[in-house]
Amino acid sequence: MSVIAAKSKKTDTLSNLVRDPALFISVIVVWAFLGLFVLFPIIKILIITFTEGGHFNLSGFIKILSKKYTMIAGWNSILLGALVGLCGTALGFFFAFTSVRANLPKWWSRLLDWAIILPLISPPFTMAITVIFSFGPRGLITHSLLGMDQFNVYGMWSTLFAETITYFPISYITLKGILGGIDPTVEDMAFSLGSSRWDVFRKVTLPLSTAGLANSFLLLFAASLADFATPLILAGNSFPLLPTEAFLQITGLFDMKGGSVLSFILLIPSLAVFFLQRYWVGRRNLVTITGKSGSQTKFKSVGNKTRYLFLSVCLLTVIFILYFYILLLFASLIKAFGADNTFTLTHYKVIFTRGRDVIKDTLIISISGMLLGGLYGVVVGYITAKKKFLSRRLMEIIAMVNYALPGTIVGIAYLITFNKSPFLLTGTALIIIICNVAKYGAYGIRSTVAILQQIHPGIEEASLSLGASSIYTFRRITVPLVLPGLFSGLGIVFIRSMTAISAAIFLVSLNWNLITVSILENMTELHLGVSAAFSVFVVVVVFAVITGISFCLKLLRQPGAMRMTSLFGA
Amino acid sequence: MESVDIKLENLVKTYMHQIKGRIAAVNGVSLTVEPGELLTLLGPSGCGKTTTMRMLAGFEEPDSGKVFIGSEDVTSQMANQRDIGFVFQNYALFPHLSVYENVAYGLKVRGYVKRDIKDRIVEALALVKLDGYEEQFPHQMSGGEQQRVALARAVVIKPKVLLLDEPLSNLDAKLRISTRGEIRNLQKSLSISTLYVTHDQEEAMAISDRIIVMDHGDIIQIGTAEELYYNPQTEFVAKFIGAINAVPAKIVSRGTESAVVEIEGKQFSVSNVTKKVRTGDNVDVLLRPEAIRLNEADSGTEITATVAERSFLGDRVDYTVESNSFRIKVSLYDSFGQLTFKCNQKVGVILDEKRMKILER
Repeated sequence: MSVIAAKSKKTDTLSNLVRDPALFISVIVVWAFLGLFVLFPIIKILIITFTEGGHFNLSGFIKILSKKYTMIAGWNSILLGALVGLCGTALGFFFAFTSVRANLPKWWSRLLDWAIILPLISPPFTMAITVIFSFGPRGLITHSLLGMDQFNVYGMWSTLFAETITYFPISYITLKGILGGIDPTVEDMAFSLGSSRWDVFRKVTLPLSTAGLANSFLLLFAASLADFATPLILAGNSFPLLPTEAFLQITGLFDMKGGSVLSFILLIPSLAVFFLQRYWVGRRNLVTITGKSGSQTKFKSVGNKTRYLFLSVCLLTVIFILYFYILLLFASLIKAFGADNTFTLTHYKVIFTRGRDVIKDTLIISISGMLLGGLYGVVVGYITAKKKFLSRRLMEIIAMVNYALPGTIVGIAYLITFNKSPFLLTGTALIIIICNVAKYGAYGIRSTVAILQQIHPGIEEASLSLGASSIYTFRRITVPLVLPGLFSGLGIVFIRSMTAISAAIFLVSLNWNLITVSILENMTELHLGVSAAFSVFVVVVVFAVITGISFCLKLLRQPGAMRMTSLFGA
Repeated sequence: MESVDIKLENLVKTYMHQIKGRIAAVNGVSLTVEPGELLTLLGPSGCGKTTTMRMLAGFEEPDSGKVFIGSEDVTSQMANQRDIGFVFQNYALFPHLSVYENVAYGLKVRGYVKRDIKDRIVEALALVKLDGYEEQFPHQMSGGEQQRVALARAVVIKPKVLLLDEPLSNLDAKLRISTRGEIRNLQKSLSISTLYVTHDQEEAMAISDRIIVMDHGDIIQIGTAEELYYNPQTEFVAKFIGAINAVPAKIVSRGTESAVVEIEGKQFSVSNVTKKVRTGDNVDVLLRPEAIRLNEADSGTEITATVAERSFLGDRVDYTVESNSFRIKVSLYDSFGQLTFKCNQKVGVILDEKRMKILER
């Protein structure tokens, strides 16, 4: 009997495809997309890395691998990733602990949340630019304040600093969820058994957060590994890293093979971290939501003195972050940073006249990416979370691959894959849009899945039991309920399309350019004011979009529907 | 509308369990719900009762077996083709729709015109005593009210079959009792063939025409509440339906359908013995707590024992009494204090031999 049953299980998932034509078509379309825009480019990188003249050949690969520079770049990338992971997690935990445990007034935690969201929604190298403004050769702090002329800002420490400030919010969001999930009565229990505050922290709170800390470390490690813009601005010649080296191989030396090999080397730790995070740490979360946590008890784990200490450190960091943004605004409004502090609107005039096309291109690409990415996220999220069909689990994984890979790899892969017919896409807007959809659509998938998981399966079954078809159910029940997920998915795809650079920099062309790439170009040409003005523009647009979406979410929230707590819910 | 019968034939459903491998959730279940009958599937969690109901609803596909509603074989039909009304344990109300829209949902799907929809909703809401709640949303209502919306939504489409999956388990004890009465009245007045799933034996007994006791994917016994209570075929049923004591005894003689057993030196004659027990066998005698009385142990003819525990429950007092060979529960329905015993008091135990059932050990 068990054999029959096993067979029927398999035919079950197959017969679902046959019985449900809408599902069948969606699965085919999604697989075609994933095949062409996720798997094919990666295979192409592997082919270029491991073949020579159409035959399997390792000599080119080994030659590049054994170059001293490659080794150093690889080692540096991993070292920097680990350091960013450690420092960012420590800072994130400190903030999360303060926010969750220090019994802050509401407006205080709001302030923390908003200040911390700034680095998340800015172009990834905003922090790098402001570090130059502060500590560079003509920096506000090093040059103007301290009068140091020989200070060298470029290298590992400044990169580490900028990346830590940029990425620690990821850690903050992850750990805030974990710490907030610990039932305060558990800590009360430890107190009642005679533990001191320090003991409670050491023996209860910290062990319960271990999985979250590991998760945060891996997320930051991956973010640093993938970061391209920060090191391009800050790392300098003495501190080569894999993504920047790959970029220089391709744009500087037009060496596709070298770029591919470096991408491949970068691919290994990235995928390792992705799977480690997804299948190991992700399943080791000790904070389980069981039983009733209706207790209204307050956290007592932070004493009054400690509380003020924590608050001051957080406040100082927040002021520091705000200082960087004010500096950015300042730099965009003066004639020449570090030389002439006269107020001017010239830089804005420049970006809205000479830069108008770039702004237009970026908005077109971001908005189309947002719409397509949102649709993609909802469709893939819905079918992988709700439907049973052959290849469902594989689709789940493959759909996350481009999201997990550093943008540099994706950019190089697209560049070498889509530069000749029948897939000639180089130079079009489409290639950038597709790249964004395949990479950032993953956020849409995740937010859709998250909200679908909150909808009890009984609700859709109830609709079926009342005689509704699956399409009617989807339209009348599922869509209204996942709308918040769709909107936050849309928002994130838009924000990422506006701010991303690591993949897009390989895909821009004379016809289609992006603001982020322009910022970088202006930085290297020392048009600091224009860079700053562009950056301010991006931050403002993104902020406006976030506010707009939050408003829409409130407006569209069906009575009784689930709340989408955060646009960036980790 | 005329009531139809429901037939399940040899339904099998297996699952892959991570540790245990392939296990049968439902192991060849066959049953019939007579037209207009309320049949309950009763059993502990994991016994297969919900899976059986979900296969009847069309939410799960059986590995093998057939489902009939009336004379129609619906095994291969989807849930939305089967004409059922389903009430979920958590009600599964559509959170974004008002009470009116929730109840209207099934009618709209069926293409009713606005006028008819309105009339039927008014009727259905009156039936569950929710008139005036049309514009409310589920999250604005109490659990009991939500439950009644779910009920109205299921019956308003006048389905051939009503399926209720633990519909009362999220309500508090008092509300459970009043709601189950309402469900029963509604079901009777509409005369819908109904399958009801619960793990609560009291609820099952209160509401059902017949009860099916299930365990580990199998049907253990089918019968009315009385039949199951007074004539359980297995120890599992005896223990699951009401409280029961197993008193160790020895067969001293055996007739064709009777036997004489000895408990602590006292002999009792038990009739309707169907089990294959022989003289000299050690057996358990099953006896309900209310089939035992206690006295002051003065006549010398009773078994003597000591009161170990005592709980006053208002309408009765429950005792646990211990002797050399047994520890049993006794319920005495006499709350006016005529017959009360204290802990550690010596008592006489009087066993009602007419109510004894013999179980092989």
